[in-house]
Amino acid sequence: MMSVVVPGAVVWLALAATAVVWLGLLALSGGRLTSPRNVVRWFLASWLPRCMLLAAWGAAGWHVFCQRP
Amino acid sequence: MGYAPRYCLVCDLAIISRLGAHPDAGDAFCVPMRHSAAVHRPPPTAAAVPVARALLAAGIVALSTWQANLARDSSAAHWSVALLVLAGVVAAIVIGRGRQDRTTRRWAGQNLHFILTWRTQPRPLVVSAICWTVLIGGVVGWDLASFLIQSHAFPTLSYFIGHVTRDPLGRGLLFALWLGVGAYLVSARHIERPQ
Repeated sequence: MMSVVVPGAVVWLALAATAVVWLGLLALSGGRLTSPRNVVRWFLASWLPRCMLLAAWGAAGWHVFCQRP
Repeated sequence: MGYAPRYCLVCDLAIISRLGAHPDAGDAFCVPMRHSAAVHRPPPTAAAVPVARALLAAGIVALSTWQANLARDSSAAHWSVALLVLAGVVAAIVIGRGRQDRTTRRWAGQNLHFILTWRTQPRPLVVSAICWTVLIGGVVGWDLASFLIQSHAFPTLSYFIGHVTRDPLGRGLLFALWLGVGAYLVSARHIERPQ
């Protein structure tokens, strides 16, 4: 069976590669760059962004576990 | 020459610089954030935390094991996810009090101030902000664009996730991850300010 990589998947691959490179740089930076944990904690610093994250979490859960095959 | 005090973007404590030195890249976060074990004191209820974490982990494992064998269109899947989201919101309201150390207005104001004064901010912090914005914006933006296009040539992120959740093991593991993220969003961030 021949698999075809569609244009949209190429963009996803590029984003994934960018994420891997960025996480590698974070690991090598010795704490000078902002870690994922600190990004989340920055969002959780006040009510509005915390509620936005919770809403996104709930919507993602509903979509992934109740709608997607 | 004096410098205007700067505050840690994460925990809002004043950044403590080396004596006589301009706050530099190493001072992007406050000293407590970089040496949390030395300054942050355990809260009075610290003894109950391991028990609560063990109970939470057991609950996540049990729910994920049960959820793994449910179909996405079953009423049990719908009710369980809806109730868990509701429980997350209620838990955030109940135990979230005191975990926000600044008002939304102040949070937004600090971010705006950071953007407007980006030239004078520490370079690692600016680079981090740009890279995180590009990465998160790229994922959200491309997912939204793919959703709007509605074409097989432009799959959404949930299309790929759907390949994982078709399998009971993948569904169970992803459900456990989802619950863990939710628990973190509800309960994270409890910083004891130094007296």
